[in-house]
Amino acid sequence: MTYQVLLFGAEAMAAGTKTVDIANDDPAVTTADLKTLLIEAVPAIAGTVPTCRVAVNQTFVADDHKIVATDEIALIGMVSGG
Amino acid sequence: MSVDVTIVQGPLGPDTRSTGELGSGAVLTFEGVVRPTEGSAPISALDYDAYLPMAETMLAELAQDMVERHELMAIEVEHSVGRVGAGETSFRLRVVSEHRAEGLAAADEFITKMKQDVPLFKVPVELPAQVES
Repeated sequence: MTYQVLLFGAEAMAAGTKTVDIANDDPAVTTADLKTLLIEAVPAIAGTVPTCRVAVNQTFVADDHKIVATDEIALIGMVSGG
Repeated sequence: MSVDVTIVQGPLGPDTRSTGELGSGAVLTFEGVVRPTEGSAPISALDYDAYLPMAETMLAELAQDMVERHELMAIEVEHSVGRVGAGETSFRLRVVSEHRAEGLAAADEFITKMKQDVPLFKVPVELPAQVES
């Protein structure tokens, strides 16, 4: 199955894309696992991913939250509105 | 009591809403303007990105919370996405209240919480390198 992760701002610029597809056999992964998979897939954002938050279906989730491939997944880096 | 949130492509235009609601005694307008520097580096603009509609939803929920807890009469939020040049306006907050104290407190709290949690992002656009002749 494929977990699609949305990127924004500095992470999107560093990755050169606004979406990253991560192939994984597990039917569900934790937020922490997803970050590890994301770093493996896109080493260019390895420096900031650990401090990023993750939103699932447009709600921030904790590191132990279980994510499934059909979820809308977003990596939320440093926010800076205003 | 009203809440209005608008996301605008590019810089915000001039503020055309200068009068308060009937019964209001304070109308506060804050504008965020793009600085010509990021840290010590000169920049020409900021590229704003947003996770929509999560950002719009969070701005509206935050605004509604301000209305209820600070007893505001109205709050209006405008925020840019896309490129906004140095000196141009990227954010406008308009708070209408009966007295100034609750309006000032709400404006400060709204901006602080927006900068902590709302998924809005900015990337500086560096000035092109000068070519020496």
